[in-house]
Amino acid sequence: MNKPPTSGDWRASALCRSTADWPFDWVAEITTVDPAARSHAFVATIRQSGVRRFDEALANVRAMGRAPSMLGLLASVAQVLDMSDPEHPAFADSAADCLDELLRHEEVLRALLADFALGANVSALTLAQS
Amino acid sequence: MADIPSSPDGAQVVLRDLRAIAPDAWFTAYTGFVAEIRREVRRDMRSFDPIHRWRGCAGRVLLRNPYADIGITADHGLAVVWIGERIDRDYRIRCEWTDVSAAAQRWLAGIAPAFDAVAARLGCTPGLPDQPRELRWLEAA
Repeated sequence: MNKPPTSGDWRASALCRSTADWPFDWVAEITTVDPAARSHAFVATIRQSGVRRFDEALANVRAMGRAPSMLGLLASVAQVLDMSDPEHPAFADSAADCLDELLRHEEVLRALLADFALGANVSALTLAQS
Repeated sequence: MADIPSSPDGAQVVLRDLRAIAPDAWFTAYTGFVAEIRREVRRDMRSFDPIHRWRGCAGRVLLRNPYADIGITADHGLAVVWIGERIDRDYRIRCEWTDVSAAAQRWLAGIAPAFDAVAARLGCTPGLPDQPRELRWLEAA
């Protein structure tokens, strides 16, 4: 699979119940807004079991809605790894350059983690591992 | 115009040009336009209720009555506002029992001038050149 996800800024809608009575599903929708192309389009409907807790279902929707951003971030980190690989054409013989490149994405990374309130947990995990 | 967004097959369409709006202000303007469509349509065509659905991946249904959908398709800075016969599951079930489609087509032909009047108030221009049509079976799938 080498097709990138649908372009644009993905947005997740509010999480709603599919019906007023039981059993229901949690339903949310992902759309994409592309300010450059000035377009608004439908991407997906996310349907989850109503048995799942609301906050967990909401976190799942957020994670899916941020998938393209996460993918972009992973690509950026992989690029830094390439820069630190002596056998890669993109090799940069400078740890400072690699760190600079990594720090360029810090804001996006922290914003993503903050969306899931994971910032504190990740810090704790880092401390535990050090 | 080469990049006119698609609209449902057989729909009456009008066009509003949003290309002059800066990219960072576009979504706010688009959201405002959607609210304006809902408000203005309900002033003259009170059988329509606000709804949020999608037809295909580009056609956003904003209002629905027993026969028709009114929606918007926004792409390349252009917004096509359209009114067309419903294709949703509930409607298709109704069509299996009675000839709703013929009545819907008659009603749509009768309401066309009212839709044009609303479109004029919204700053839309009627009449589009040949444009790509979405396949109905794809929309309904």
